[in-house]
Amino acid sequence: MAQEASSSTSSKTISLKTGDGEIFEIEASAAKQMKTVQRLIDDLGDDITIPLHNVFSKELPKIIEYYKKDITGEITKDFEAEFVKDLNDDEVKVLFLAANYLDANKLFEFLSQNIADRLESKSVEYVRKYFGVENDFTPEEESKLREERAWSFRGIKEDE
Amino acid sequence: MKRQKKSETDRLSDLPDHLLLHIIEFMITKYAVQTCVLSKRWKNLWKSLTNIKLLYHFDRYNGDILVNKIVSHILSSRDNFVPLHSISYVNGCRIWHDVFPFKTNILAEIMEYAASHNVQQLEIDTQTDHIRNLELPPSIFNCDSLTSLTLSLRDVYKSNTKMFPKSFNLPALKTLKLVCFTFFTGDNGYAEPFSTCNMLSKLVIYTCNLQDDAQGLCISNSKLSNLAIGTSNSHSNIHKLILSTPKLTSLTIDGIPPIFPAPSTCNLTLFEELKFDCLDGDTMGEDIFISWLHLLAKIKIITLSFKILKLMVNILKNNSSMRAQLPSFVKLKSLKVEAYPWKCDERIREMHAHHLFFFFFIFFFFNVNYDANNGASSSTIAISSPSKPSVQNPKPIIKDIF
Repeated sequence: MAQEASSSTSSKTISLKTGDGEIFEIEASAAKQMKTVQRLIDDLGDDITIPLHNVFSKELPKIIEYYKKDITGEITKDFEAEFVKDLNDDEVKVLFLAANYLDANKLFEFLSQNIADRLESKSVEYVRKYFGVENDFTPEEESKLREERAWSFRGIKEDE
Repeated sequence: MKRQKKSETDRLSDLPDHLLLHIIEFMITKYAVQTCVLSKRWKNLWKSLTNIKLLYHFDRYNGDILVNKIVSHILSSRDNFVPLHSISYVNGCRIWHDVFPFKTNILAEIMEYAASHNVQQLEIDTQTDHIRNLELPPSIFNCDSLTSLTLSLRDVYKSNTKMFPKSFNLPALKTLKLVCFTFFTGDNGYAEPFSTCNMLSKLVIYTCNLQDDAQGLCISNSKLSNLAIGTSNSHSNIHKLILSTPKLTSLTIDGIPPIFPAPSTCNLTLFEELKFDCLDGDTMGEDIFISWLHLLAKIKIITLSFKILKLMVNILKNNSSMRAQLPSFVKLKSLKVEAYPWKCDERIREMHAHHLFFFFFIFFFFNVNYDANNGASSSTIAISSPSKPSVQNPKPIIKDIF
């Protein structure tokens, strides 16, 4: 919905188009927090729908929700805890990658912490899958490494 | 769409090393080290960590011998060419000193490593009863890079404190937190430890002592804006506090109710906030109480724990002459009372706005129901005054209440 055109950017909204073709609106002040979006606005102008090829309709609304709270200065620990409460590890990963693509620093930092918390006591196999890592160690190399650092492998939860 | 999902899984691996490192920076270092077995690419990635976090809770602590090994290993394996931003060693365990009586140099090792690697933030928070002859290396008190230093070295059983160095050089220090230290007495008969910290803006002193010959503690600093001071036990010998801190805006008292009278604040033109975070202790000396009451009357923003509020009300209830001399709280703009559900066993009833200048009324007028079992951190009742200060005389109303 078009806002009244005003000389200040604070009441203006920007249209964003996801990689799967959906359009979302955000406030110009929220768009400023996403450096990639801001760069596109600077290049293309703020009246054009900004295309975001690598962000999709599943995650963009959540990101918009975060920055809506950010511009009113309402982001608290409680809000952040609630924000990720119902997300599974993969959903957080998708948001993290989107935040990185959008160069949305505050969200990026928060999600980095959240991913770290989630992975901390998971098994090596789980973390490999999560990061998409191929194990290129031989079994001997791996067991030698594990032995050298045995103290760091204590206290790991069983995978769910 | 399967194809899209597959590329999503792989995409974390497509990120450059420094972003993957960024994620593991947030982990406790012990777990970040585990990433060395993920793949050859990851083998040495953790060695570029710029933040070292060593955190021990009950379920993770296995005695100091193991901790020493881990910490030494981490410090010696990491890449020396990567700048180190912060080290944090927080041991929240209750250490039974007679079960683990051994020498350990790990704290000195951490401090020396921090100093020699130009660390900006250092935090050490641990019980220290079990450490024999803990020597604090002078290098950590003469470090150009430190902007934030927390040293909480608690002797829980013996209540010993460490001597804070007489002279030190921390030119970049902005935040300092000290727990369980004793300060040297200066030439003027006062302990005046912080006058040389030119960048200091936040200072926390908890359960600290003075030498026997000191007349009091003088905080003298040109930039300091936030000061918190308190003690957890009544053996503290800080009986007088002098503030020579022209930029001070906020003073917090925590632990037990203050055992020293309110400092003079007439030269503190920016001073506007006073917080009492006292959660322990049941008494306060009468003279000391009166001095703090008079200081409170000049404060714009007050925060009280429910415990201290109750204590103050009780003292006033039993003392009619004190009530007759109550000051007027004409400067008050905002008053908060913080009730921690697990500390509070009374309902706080709602307060009517026009009584808010007289904080002791809160005890009778609050009517906020909160769920004491919901485990939330604290219920805060915030009251802000109307823009115009009232000139109403409080005394007749107080008489009615009591």
